[in-house]
Amino acid sequence: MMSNKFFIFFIFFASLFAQDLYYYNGGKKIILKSANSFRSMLSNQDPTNVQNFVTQDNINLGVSRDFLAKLAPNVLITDIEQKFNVRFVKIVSGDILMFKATSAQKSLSTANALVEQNLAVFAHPDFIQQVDLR
Amino acid sequence: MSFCKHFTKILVIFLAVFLSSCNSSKTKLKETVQTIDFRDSFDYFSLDPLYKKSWHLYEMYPKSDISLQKTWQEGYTGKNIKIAVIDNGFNIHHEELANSFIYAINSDTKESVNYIENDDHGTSVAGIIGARSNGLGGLGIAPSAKLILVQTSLKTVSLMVESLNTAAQQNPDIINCSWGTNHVSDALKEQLEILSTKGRNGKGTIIVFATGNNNKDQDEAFVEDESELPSVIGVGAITPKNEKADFSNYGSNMDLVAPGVNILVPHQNTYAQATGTSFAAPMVSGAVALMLSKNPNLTKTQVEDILKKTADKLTNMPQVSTKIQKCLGTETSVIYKNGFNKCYGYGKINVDKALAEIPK
Repeated sequence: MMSNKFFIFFIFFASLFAQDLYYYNGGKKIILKSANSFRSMLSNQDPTNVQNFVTQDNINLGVSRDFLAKLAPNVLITDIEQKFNVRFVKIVSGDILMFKATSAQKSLSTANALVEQNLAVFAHPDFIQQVDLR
Repeated sequence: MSFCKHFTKILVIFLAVFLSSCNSSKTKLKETVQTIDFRDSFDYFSLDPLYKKSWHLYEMYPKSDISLQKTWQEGYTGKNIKIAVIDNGFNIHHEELANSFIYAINSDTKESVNYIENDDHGTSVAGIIGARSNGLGGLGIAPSAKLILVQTSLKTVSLMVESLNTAAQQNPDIINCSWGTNHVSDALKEQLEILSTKGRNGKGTIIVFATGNNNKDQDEAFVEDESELPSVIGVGAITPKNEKADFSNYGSNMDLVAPGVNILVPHQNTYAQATGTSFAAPMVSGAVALMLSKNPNLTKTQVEDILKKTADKLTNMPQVSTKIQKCLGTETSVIYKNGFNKCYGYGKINVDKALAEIPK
């Protein structure tokens, strides 16, 4: 009896801190590994609001509270705002929209949820990326 | 009284000097007019002192250049063709760029371009495309083209997308991107796809990306690089010996190669030699400008097909010291299958051959 209670408590507690460790790129699930040290490439970003990940290809991706999405036809911005408790920020270009979540973790999980629930053609965090000048 | 006489003498001398200087100004003006008349001729281009030190333009080594003399002689210099260069910084006061651009903006801040010393990669890239024939320095491949300079930090996906959007608002025919992430996001893919299909009133904007400098097989990555997308032309680098540059990334989706080692470029307030696929990509952008100056109605697909069809199929064994490069795989020689080889893509651009393929 005691162990069952402990198990339920453990599941509840773990779910509180569960975090998506993937995102969608071209319909493929890209596995992310949490990176310990984060070197913010954005001087105006608060590092506490950014999480750093590494992909299978060893690419560093910073995740902030902002995410980008192209919504599926007939899906309204207000629907997304209400359902996921996010804020519409701006049109980046054409159908590409920027939203702001309450945390970096929420930004990643909301983008994933939009894809998984077919609410978006694509959605992913507004990654902070290392660009090579070649 | 004597002062008055003295003053009159000085005045007369001053007037004489002034009138003679006016005459000489008139002579200079005539010379200037004559010079402008010669601007579109090949003879004038060769007056730029670094032209004959630019192996990609002038055949300093056997077949090192991209073969464009005939194109220039026929008068195709990129006139009225707009090329956007998206990069981290530009010295807009450099003698090669000062009269070459029609618009310069920082797309992150929407302010005018802010030149940052030691951070003007874009100056070199833009110079390869559009350095003017002004009797100074070197020459661009399309020396009459109109440049649009878009400065950006490229730090986030949204900034990359916005920089393309900022460029697109100026209706460029070509967009040059000598950068990449090795991990292209869906939002950037979407923006590139839209421009390459709907830009130029439906003819498609020609977008050129550099493949990168890690001697990496791009096929091995889980997510593709920008240069691998079908919406863009991906360009690798070769040496003056027409060999694959040892650093140049390659793969099944690389389209073309162009010179990218020790290229003379404008840099800060002077000139320098630069190496990297960053400097190969603008060669293709410049070549496309020459093609469009012959026929501005070519679609993006037509431009790409002509470039691939007319490219020189290089067969030199790519080497790093004495070791054969891994781009060959198990092959012992450079073999093209359906016109394609993994080390060289569809080959090295040949501008004169490309122009010959275009009906006027």
